[in-house]
Amino acid sequence: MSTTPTMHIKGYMLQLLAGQGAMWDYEVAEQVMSAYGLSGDYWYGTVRLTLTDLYSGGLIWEIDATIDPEKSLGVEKILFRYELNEFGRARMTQSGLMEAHA
Amino acid sequence: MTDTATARVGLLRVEHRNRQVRWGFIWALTCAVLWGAWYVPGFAIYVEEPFLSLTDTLGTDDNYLLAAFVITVLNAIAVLIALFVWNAVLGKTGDYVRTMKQAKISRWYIPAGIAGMLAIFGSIIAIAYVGPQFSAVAALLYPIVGAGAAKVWYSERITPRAAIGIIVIVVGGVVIFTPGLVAEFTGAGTGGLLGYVGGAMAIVGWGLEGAIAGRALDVSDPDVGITLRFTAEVAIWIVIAIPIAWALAGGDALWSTVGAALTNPAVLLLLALLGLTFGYCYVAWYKSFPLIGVGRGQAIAALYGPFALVWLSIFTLTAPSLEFIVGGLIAVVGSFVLFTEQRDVLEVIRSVPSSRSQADVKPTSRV
Repeated sequence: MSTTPTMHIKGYMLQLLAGQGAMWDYEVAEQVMSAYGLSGDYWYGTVRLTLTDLYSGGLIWEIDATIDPEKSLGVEKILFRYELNEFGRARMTQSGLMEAHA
Repeated sequence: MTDTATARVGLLRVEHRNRQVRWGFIWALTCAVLWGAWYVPGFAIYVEEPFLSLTDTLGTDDNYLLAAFVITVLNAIAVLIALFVWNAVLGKTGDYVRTMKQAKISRWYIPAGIAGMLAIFGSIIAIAYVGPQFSAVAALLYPIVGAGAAKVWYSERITPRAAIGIIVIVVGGVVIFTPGLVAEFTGAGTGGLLGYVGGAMAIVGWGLEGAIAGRALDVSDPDVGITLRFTAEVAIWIVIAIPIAWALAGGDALWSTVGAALTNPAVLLLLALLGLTFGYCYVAWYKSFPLIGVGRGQAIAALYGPFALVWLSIFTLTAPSLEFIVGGLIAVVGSFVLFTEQRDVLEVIRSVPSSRSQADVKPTSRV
């Protein structure tokens, strides 16, 4: 097993979105859970909830939504695709989560 | 996707975003209920030893402040213990340590903690030198400062409707405490000025704490964030405030009071209740901010005023007054003004430049 990231989970999620562009919420959840060695509905839900916080706070945009029961543990659940925006990037730079960019 | 599938996605999307906003309000209301409940052990602890003898009719203002100081510090420690348990249960202890190490993020919880502790201590000074009704009213005004600071600092969307809702809730709270307030103003006497300074500390302190927390929560988790904020407060009490109080209180009086408090089982039970109610009220407060914003979260949480009187009247079996009923109804109306605001305003609480909806997803529209 690889070592757990030293970054806290919300910071790690922002860095994923900054590095990989637009991502589906289940993709973020899978990567977070595998990086931190976590599993189960609880952590899946926790990551989705954190994405909701980032969305209502205006740091990320919702750019797509769909339904795919295979990606949401067999139940019909709305899935969102998010993208980091300029405000999110600015917050990351101010918080030491990202190098200042041109 | 077929048209029916698209419609289904649209429907589920609206349901999800409605739930997001509803939970923001539920957390803020949970905070209000628990904050109000905190006043029951908060008053009861003053009639337990050693605090009873410090605050009875023979006591001076100095003794009263010593009791208030010890209770405030022990309350903060009890809250921190409750929050450590909370994070352990949620499996977030590791994230607490990781977040603390991110100095550019965790440092925000230091001013948040200072602002919060000044607010708590200010409200206690206001109780001592003017009266509890004044102190309660003063604290209720804090959402005005919080909403204003969040709007100016990071463009939180305080629409005219939200501003009206916030003011209506505050007015409702003030109405509840009006009769006692008038009596206190007329009887405040020469010590009054210090009490008014304390009241101002409560308004500004809690308002700014919320605004600073709103900034820090952009990049950190609420459960972890509130624990960092109380870690900062407890550290400041221990490193700075306790040595000063020790010197001012003339040495042993402080420690004998703490010792007597911690050996009284009734005080320990009350401290546990204080820690649980205040700790989880603060958890709920911080959880509401990212979802509905600092201004709305604080305004709904200001319903703690009416809830405190409900809890106290249950435990003391006294009937609420007419002012309580009128003021309480006004505050409820204000809450509905906030809650029934258009969902598209509430979905994203900041006026982020070029924020875009699901409809326009062209990468070229990026700023």
